This record gives sequence, C-alpha cells and structure tokens, in this order.
Amino acid sequence: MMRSFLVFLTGIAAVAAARPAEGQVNTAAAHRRLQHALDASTYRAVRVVFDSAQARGVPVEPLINRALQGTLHRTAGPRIRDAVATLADRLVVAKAALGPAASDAEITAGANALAVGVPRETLSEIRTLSPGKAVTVPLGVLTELVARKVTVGRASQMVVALLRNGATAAQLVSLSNEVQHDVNAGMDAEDAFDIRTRGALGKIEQVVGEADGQRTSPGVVQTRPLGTTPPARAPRKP
Amino acid sequence: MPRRRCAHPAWIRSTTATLIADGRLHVRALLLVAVGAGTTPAHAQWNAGAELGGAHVAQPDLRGRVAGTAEVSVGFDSPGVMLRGSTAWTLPQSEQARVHAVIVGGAHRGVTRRLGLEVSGSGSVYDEGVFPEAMSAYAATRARARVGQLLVRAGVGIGALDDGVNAYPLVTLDAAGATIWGDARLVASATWHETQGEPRIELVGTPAPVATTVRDRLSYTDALLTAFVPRGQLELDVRGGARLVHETIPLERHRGPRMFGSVDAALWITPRAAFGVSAGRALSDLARGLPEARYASVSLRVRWKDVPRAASTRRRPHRPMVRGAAPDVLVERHAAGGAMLRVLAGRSTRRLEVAGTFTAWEPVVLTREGEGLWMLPTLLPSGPHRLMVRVDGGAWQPPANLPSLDDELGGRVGIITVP
Repeated sequence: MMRSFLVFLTGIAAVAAARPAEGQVNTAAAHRRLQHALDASTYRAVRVVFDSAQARGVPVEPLINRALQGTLHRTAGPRIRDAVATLADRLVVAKAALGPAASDAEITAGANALAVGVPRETLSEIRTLSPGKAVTVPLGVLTELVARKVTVGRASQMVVALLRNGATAAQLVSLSNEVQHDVNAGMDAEDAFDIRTRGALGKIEQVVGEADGQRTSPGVVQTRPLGTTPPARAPRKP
Repeated sequence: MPRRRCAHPAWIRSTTATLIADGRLHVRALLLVAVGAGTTPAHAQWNAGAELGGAHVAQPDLRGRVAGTAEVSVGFDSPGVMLRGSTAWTLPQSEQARVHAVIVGGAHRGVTRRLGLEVSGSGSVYDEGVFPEAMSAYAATRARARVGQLLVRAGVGIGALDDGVNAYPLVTLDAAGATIWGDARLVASATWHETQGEPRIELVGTPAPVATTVRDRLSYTDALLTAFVPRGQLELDVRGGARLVHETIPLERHRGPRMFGSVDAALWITPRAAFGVSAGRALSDLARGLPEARYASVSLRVRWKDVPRAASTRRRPHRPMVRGAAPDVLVERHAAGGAMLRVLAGRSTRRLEVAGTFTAWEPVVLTREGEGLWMLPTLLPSGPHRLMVRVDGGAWQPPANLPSLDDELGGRVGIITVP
C-alpha cells in the first residue's frame, strides 16, 4: 500500500512538473506536437537546429515556438526549418550583445528586435543602461515601434534616451500604446511617434520652462497684447 | 525659460475681436492677420512668423488713434538650445512709429542622468522716437533635477530695466515642479522678485529735513499653477496664480494678494484649422517692463499643412466590425502581475480563438465576457509576445490594433509587450 501511495505521489509530482509555467513551452509535449504535425525530414532538420542552439548556449524554447507557429499555418517544411535556423542565429547574436547573464526572455526579446533591423549595438546599449534590470520590455517596445514603421534609428535613439532619463517599463509600454492609438486613428506612425516622444522625453522639462509665465504663440514671441502701455509709461508697481 | 518647439509648421492667424486693458478696461476692436512658416518638428527647428494688423489704440497718448501694427519673429529650437527674437512696430496715424524688439535665449545641458543645468537670458529695446530708448536685460541660471516622476527646478536671475530716465535693478529667485498626470502636464512655480521703485523726493532728517532722493524697495512673489490638457481635438491651457507683495511703494502698502490667470482653448475643427479662445489677466512684469493687462480674444488659425493631432488615449479602439475582420486586442494589467487579454470582436462572432507564444501556438478558445467582448482565461506573463486570432474558424490573422511583423513563415504576426 505504501508502494502504491509512493507511486501515486510520484505520478502527481510528474504531472505537476510536466505542467509548464504560464507562458512556457512544455518541451516534451511540444516535441510530440511537432512530430505529429511535421513530416519526418522537417522534424529531423529542426531537431538539428535545436541541438545546435542548445550547444551554443541559447534557449531552445523560442525555436520550438517558432516551429509550432509554422504548424499553425501548415507552412511548408523547408520554410519552417529556415525560419527556425534564422531565429537560432539571431538568438546567438542577441546573447552576445546582451551579455552572458541575459535571461532566456531577454535573449528572445533581443532576437525579435534584431529581426526588425535593430542593430546589436543598440541591444548592448540598452543592456548597459539597465544594469540589474530586465530589458525584455524595452526591447519589446522598440520592436513594436519599428513594426509600426517608425524608423529604426529614431526608435532606437528614443528608447535609449528614455532609459537614460529613467523611464520605467510601464512608461515605455504606455508610449508604445499611445503611438498605436494614434496610428489606429489614422495618423502617420512617424508623426505619432514624434508627438508622443516629444512629450515623453522632454515634456516635463519643457513645461518647467513655460512656468516663466510668458506664453508664446507658435513660432512667435508674444511680447505683449498689442496696444498696451509701452514700458516707458508703465507705472512702477507690482 | 520658454522652450516650446513649433508644433505648427505654417499658420495663419486672425483675431476677430480683442479686449485689452492696461490697468483700466478698454474695449477695442483688433483685427490681426498673421502668416508664419516653419519646419516640421525635428531635432532642430527654425521657424519664422510675421503679423500684420490694425488696432484702435487706447494708450494715454494715442487714445482714439488708429494704428497699423506689424511684428516679425524668428526662432530656433533644438534639444539643448532655444533662441527667439521679435520686433513689433506700432504705426499710428501722423505719428512716429514705435518699435519694441525682444530677444530670448537659453541653453540646457544634462550634467548627470538626473541633474541638468540651464542658462537663459532676455533683452528688449523700446523706441518711441521722441523719448529716450527704454531697454531691459535679464539673465538666469537654474538647476534641474528629476525626482521620481517629478521634475524640479530652482534658480537665480539678475537683470535691469532702463526706461530712458532711470535704471531699475532686478533680482529673482525661482523654484518649480512639474509632472505628468494622465494626458495633462502640470506645473507649480514660485518666483520671488526684488527691484526698486521710481526715484522720489522725500524730506529726510530732523530738525531740518533735507530733500533726498529715495527709491522704494519693491519685492513680490508670484505663485503660479499651470495645466495643459490635450483632449483629442481640444487643447486647453489653464493658468492661475497669486502675487504676494512683500514690499512696495508707500501708497500701495497693506494690499492683499492679487490674483491673475488665463485660459487658452484651441479647438481643431479640421486638421488645418483651429478655433481659439483665450482670456486672462496678467499683472505687471517689472523684469520685462510690461504693464498689467486684461485681455480676451477670439481667433481663427489656419495652417498650410495638416497638423498631427494626438488621439486621446482614453478611448477604446472603435472600428466598425466587418464579419471576419481582424478583431482588436486589449491588454489590461493584472494586480497579481502579468496581464489579462481581452478581444473586441463583432457582435455576430460565434467563436474566437487565439494562439501565440503564451499558448505554445496551440489554439485556445476565448470565453465570451459580454457583447462583442471575449477573454483569455489565463494571464499573459510579462515580456514580448506574438499572437494571432481567428474568428469563427476563418483564417488566422494578426489583431487589427496591434503592430505586426513578417513572421518569416509566409504571413504576418501580431506583437505585444506586457509590462
């Protein structure tokens, strides 16, 4: 009876261990799905990529995810293999740019950013500006901005500047959401980005300057309401 | 230091009616047509403007006279430097022109990640032709620091005003704090001024008083609250404050706080035209030699180029739902961490599925939460995700309201970052 009970407990532990943490791939289950969905040669080809990536020290889970994404669309085997291999190369570059201490999520986010054209130097810079903090969100926001057709240079420059000014992850996501709202409303992405980042980066500093109380019309220094008493005649009292 | 980039590359402004007061309320009709041009918002920007108009002037020496007015301005804005200059002419009938020229400039530089220094200055010249020129100059230096979500600034300034007869020194101390609250920008500031009154003769001394020239000490503090609130097509700028007079001329002593404020509203009725209303009361600015004034104006502003308008962030995306069209995805942060994913779909939707990195690309059927609203039963973890949605068993597609990428598998995929 004790043996049955122990087997029972072992079974429960195995099931509990097998259930992935939220958002993570159950590797064994994923492999079974891939084997079922892919033809044998494609499955062998992607397994080679998985093993190679593992040997190079990069996470395999995003590669499995990419292959599974291909099965969702019933994409041709060679294309799935090429997509997985391309992602593996990017993961290696991302890991090199983000440093050996980078987490799997950070490396994955870095690979996504590289995929849209963000230079690896930007990844390194973001890493440098966020010591001890996860960079998954800044990299994710950067990727979103570029995906919305904001130029890579401008988006990179602004995210770096925001990080340098102490922007939090929530603020970065909020910026991205604001740009998305404006784009959904029909605005050009670059215009929306410029408006929102003009506020996000310099907004506070800008309005402190306006505390002088001298209102200006756009492009014009408003010296006074026209027709008022000129300075030479102004009574000298506060 | 005013530092505002030109948000309007080109504009025409006409003021149809203005009420202006210089201590006492006068009613005047003022028509002003202004034409300006500038570059699009960028790192560095030059802009220029010109105004032409006519005014029925109610100055003590020009009462009842019609005068032509003209003003030309040039400005330069960049992340670290701002410079603006303008010259205004008043051309009364059968009188010599009066000219008022102003130049304002400043530079800002970050010293550390959270600390910056700023220097600014201004100068002006006023010439009536008959009387000696009046001139003013002012320079200030300030330190800025970021404390959490608050930006604070403090500084000191010195200057002088010469009205052609006497010179008046000026010292200021100022402090300000600013923050963002939702869409609004809020600023609180206080500026202490110290200057001198006009020289006057006073009999001083006993038993034989001697006529002595004395100058009263003038000292006051302006406390100001400013809120700038953009709401879709409406831009609202509200300011209010109080002047606390500490020392003034004998006749003005024992006077309580004096209130001032203004409201400026611009409604963009089209991408190129705005209807503006503003009104306010400004107290005398002894630093720049400007008198007290009350004003109200109505204006129509016309641009040569569409002005990008920031959509409100408070609206949920609203799009007509066509059967089979990609739905919108909403992500709401959860108190326990991660985020809830909700999807807005057409009312006729019978089945909604989502697949993404957070489901290992296994399709998950969403739960209907309400009319047109569906929910993913599990939380999305923090970080970037890729996802697709499918309506009623149709094709997998990226959500309509999210950015999408080439997925390198022959299609496109939606991406989202959860904080």
